[in-house]
Amino acid sequence: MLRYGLRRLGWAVPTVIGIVAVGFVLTHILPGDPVQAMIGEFPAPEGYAEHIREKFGLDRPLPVQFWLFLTSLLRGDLGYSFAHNAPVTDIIFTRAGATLALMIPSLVLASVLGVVFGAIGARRAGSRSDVAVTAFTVSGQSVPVFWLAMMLILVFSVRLGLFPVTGMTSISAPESGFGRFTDFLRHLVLPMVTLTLAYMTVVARVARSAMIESLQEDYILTAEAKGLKNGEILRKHVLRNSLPPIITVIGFNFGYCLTGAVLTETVFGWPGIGSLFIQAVTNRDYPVIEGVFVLSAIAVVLVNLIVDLLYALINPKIRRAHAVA
Amino acid sequence: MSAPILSINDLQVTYHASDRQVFALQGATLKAGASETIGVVGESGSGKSTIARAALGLLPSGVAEITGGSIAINGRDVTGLRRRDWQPLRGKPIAMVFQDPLSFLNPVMRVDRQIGEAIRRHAPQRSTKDRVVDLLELVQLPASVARSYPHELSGGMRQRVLMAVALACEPSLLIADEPTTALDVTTQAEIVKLLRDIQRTLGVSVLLISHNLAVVAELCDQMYVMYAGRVVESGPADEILSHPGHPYTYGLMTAARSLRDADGRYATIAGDVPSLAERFVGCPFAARCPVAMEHCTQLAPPPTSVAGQANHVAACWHLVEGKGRDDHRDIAGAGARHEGVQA
Repeated sequence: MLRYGLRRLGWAVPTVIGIVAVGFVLTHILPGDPVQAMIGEFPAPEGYAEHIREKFGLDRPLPVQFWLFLTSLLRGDLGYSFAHNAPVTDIIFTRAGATLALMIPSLVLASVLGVVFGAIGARRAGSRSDVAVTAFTVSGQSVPVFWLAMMLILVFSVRLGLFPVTGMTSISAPESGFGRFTDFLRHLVLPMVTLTLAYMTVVARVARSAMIESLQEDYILTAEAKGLKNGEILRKHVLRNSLPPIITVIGFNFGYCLTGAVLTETVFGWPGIGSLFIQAVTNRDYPVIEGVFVLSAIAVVLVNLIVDLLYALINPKIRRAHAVA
Repeated sequence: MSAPILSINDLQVTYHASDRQVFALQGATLKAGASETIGVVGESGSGKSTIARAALGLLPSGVAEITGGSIAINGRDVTGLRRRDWQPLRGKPIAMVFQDPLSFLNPVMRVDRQIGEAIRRHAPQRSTKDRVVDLLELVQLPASVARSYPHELSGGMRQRVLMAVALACEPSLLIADEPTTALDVTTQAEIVKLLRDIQRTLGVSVLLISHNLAVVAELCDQMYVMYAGRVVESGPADEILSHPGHPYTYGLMTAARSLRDADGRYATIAGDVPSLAERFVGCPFAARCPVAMEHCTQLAPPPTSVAGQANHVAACWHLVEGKGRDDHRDIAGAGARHEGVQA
């Protein structure tokens, strides 16, 4: 098991380098010039643009730039942001904290609720409760996230005044302590509801079909013949056998969310990675774009690794196959 | 005399597929009392497994429908019970051992948990750990099996685990649905011996469902022969094997003995098992029967005692006619009466 984990980790390194390389090339073939974006419309002195280009190494050939980028990446240095005038590592760490504060509760809630709704649907496929769950999840998947976000703001913030419209903290909030925390929670509710709905529906649909499949297995008859109650059968026999596809989709959500919440973060003005990425693309802020690529590549690879290890944990057959290998 | 543990009376079960119906059971009667071994024999598709599932309320919901007859457990009528009300009746008094020992065990659960949850369900106060070891010993498995997963065991061991699961419920009747079919011949013999040992030590009744006449003959006191959704012959096993009353039973016995005819070919029953897409008017075996008479296809023969034994009954016109006049039984009248029951 440990050897398997280490071997998978070994494969992660070339995967990350590959993703970063593709990201690097894509960034640099984007139309637009970062220096021009920095200087803007103002008339600049002769040679100023060239000076900046030289300072950030933008005058060198692309392979050299990539080599410099890779070597500094290995030292944990993601470069210096043109637009923010700050080290990329610092910016990303600050923004990642905000994203995680939004993502972790949303995804946990989405996973738990998704499995519960899936189970309600699967328990009696074709029943009225199943139709209700299916209708809910299909409409949840069909509604665009940004529209849902704006509707929530319109109803709960603008009309009812229950929650703030945007941001993660209020200027008027206390510097620290409990007051600051409740202020953060009030800002958290609407974006969290948006993301929970978006991710939950995917989990619920996968969970439902996986559980319906497990319910048709022969060992369910054995469990029924023992006299077990329906709830017990669902929890102990159906759920665990349905976990592989459910874990896959939850893992996908986690890997995707770190950058995938671009829309939600933008609508709610949440200072996370998603909105940072949008700004960076607009500003042609190459180091930040590449930094986000690195971060998401690592996140996706890590999540896949964890999902694979969980498979082995759930299924004793996979476990044994790895022990032998 | 107390009521039998399981009493199935003229049961009729229909499966509804999207485009057709299958009349899987068209009148099957069966009784299982205390400390009995009962065998149900028949070809695939004769309705054996449907009877077993029906006895535990495990017919696939929404597909299978009980269209007639009744099921009673310990004298209580359970025919129309809803799924939820079946749950307290499962495992105890009636437990079930299924056919394919791999697919009927949960692949991701260790053996001790699968046995343990059956123990807890029926005796919550007991310590499950010692009881699991006891049960494994009872089915002649080492205690180390407790920590294994199903895929780590052989077919015979899995079948024993399934038996331990069923016995953990402390049933008074154990239904074994083709428990030896998926196993090789040597293992089959071991499982049959084990079933007999368990029946003797625990005094539990065993209802053995099998297409294998030899297995049933070896293990069972009472025997039911099924054909095309009906019980065509029933009675004490040795009676039936010495004087089969129904031509189908006779055919089965001949085929089971693998007797070769003058040309050196194996004896078989000519023809195929009939489709159950419609209800039979006459005897379901008539089309394949070597001694069928003209009215066999038109009127269902009534159950008639064989060789003067009241508890040995077969449904064949030859029996009726052989003694029909003594009984003052009118052939047409008997047929009409039987049809009346079916309608």
